[in-house]
Amino acid sequence: MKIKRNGWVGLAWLSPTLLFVSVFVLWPMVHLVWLSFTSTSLLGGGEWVGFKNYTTAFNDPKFWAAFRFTLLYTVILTPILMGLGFALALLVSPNTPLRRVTRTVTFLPVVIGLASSSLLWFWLFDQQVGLFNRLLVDLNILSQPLVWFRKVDTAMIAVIISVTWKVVGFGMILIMAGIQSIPSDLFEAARIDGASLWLRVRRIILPLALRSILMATVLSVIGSMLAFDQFYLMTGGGPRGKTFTSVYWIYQNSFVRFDLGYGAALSVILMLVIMAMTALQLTLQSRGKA
Amino acid sequence: MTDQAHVRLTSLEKHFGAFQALKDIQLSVEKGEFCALLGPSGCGKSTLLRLIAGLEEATSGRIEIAGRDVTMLEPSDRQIAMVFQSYALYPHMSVAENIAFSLEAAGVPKAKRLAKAAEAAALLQLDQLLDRKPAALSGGQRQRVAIGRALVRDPQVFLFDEPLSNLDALLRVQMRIELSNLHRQIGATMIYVTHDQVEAMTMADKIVVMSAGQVQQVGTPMELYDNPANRFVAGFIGNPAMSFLNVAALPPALRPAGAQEVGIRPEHVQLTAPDAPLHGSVRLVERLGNQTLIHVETPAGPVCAQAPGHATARLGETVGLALEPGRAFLFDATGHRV
Ligand SMILES: Nc1ncnc2c1ncn2[C@@H]1O[C@H](COP(=O)(O)OP(=O)(O)OP(=O)(O)O)[C@@H](O)[C@H]1O
Ligand SMILES: [Mg+2]
Repeated sequence: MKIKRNGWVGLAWLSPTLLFVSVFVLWPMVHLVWLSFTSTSLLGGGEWVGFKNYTTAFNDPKFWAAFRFTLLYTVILTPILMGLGFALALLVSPNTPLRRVTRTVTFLPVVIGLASSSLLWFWLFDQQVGLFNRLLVDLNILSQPLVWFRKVDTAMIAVIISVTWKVVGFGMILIMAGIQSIPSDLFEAARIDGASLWLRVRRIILPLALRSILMATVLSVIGSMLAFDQFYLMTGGGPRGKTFTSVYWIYQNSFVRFDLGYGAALSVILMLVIMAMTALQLTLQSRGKA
Repeated sequence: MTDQAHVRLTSLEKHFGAFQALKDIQLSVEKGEFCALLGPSGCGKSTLLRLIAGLEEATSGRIEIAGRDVTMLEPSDRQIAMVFQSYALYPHMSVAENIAFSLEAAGVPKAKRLAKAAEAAALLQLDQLLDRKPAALSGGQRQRVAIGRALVRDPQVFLFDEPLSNLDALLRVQMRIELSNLHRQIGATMIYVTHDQVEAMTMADKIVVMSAGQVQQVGTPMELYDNPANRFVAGFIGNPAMSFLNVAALPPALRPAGAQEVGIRPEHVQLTAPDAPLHGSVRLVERLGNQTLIHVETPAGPVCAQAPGHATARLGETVGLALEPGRAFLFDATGHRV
């Protein structure tokens, strides 16, 4: 049997999506790349400068400091999110009423804005009125309220606590979907085989939910590499500019110093780095499967 | 009931919420016996098997295996092995790892458990496939791996839940023979769920006929065939199925006393002249080659007669029927044998 191919009909079916992608993804990206080769200012004006923004970027110690800080944040946060997300997913994947409630409650923070949650936690960490400080003091973990945002370490811890609260439910839901897609008779067979919880997790759940775990990891890494709101609202980049993230530094250049062209170049560099990291993760994933 | 019962169920009941899936099950299976649980879909066969396996908790009653009360024990502590209808093989593990997984769980060292897996595989002609993943196996091979996984546990009792239902007809016949041979070879106690009476009749030493969560009758295949306890068993065992005639609508000469219905198997019905007391018109002629099944509509209900392969019968034709004396089963209004 011969199938008649009609390319134009296919294109017509795709056109709404193509139009949407062109207007809202492709065009901004092309515009961004173009901007990065100019000295455009937020106040208008500017001219073609070739690779000047890029050479500046590679010699900008503040940008690379921000980049390293973002990387550190990602490297600390991702295992916490994935480990906790996996543990929670294990806990809530059976469909019992109490577990469904736990699932919903854990997922709730995911649907509120990151800005709102950052503000909420900013006040919870406050040294005078913060309930979190109060709790730690009452539990005798701290002797007196801590000024969380005066030091880089404690500021990082505070942001990580707040972000974990905010997004751990997202990884949990993705991983839970992976666990729930494992046929229940495999678990019954494992029960008959006498597998302990640890053996079931290690030999059955982890390998069979691996795809969802890796997907959650990729999304979580991308999210962390793009961190902005939480630092903007909680640390303001301080103390002494030590908690600027990459995106925060891009924001500083584009909207505080009005240097849109330079900001665009930094954005392009960050985009390429994240694309490379994602490609690497996905390659590792497909190799791990083979 | 003797005292060597290997599996003994006493007053076993199972409720799912308000629904009662099993009612007052009493059953004992002897050591080395092949026992089939037979019944229509939804009658509770799988539920009963899962109760024995410990995958489902009994609402009340008692389960003993090899003289131990296992009612409250975990599945892995019951000394049973189960073969699932879906095989339930671990898809990411090789055949050898699948077979050896229970040994891994028991902490057996790797070399020893691989040796035991190879031993079980040899018994099932799986030696060449030990490194394959389940996805790269045929249905029959997967079935064997599932059996291998059960074998390696060296259990007191093997539990099978419709293990052959995913295989094609030819392979099913072959696996039936292999399973029977395996049973003879290792002499283990086996409990086998099926809704296929041919499987039950050909393999089992003892058949438990179930309906609506209750045991209807327990017996050897021929006992059930020759001496069904009630209308359900009579109608369920035997292919083609027994015909049931309404006594009130029979000619007075043929009416037995004290019965509501008469059951007669097709091989005990003969076609005779149309002026016989019991007669009717031919509704359907099924030619099977070695025999012909003739379905006749009579005033007392439809009757199936088994005739030789080349019997002549035309649709719509009126024929007389003779029931072989002494071969009819009589049932009262509640369906019990009279
Ligand atoms: N977990 C459960 N919750 C509620 N009802 C159930 C559950 N498991 C089984 N049942 C009900 O119990 C009855 C018996 O089910 P079971 O699976 O034992 O039937 P079966 O005899 O094995 O049928 P089949 O031949 O179709 O497999 C059915 O009516 C079924 O709907
Ligand atoms: Mg079943």
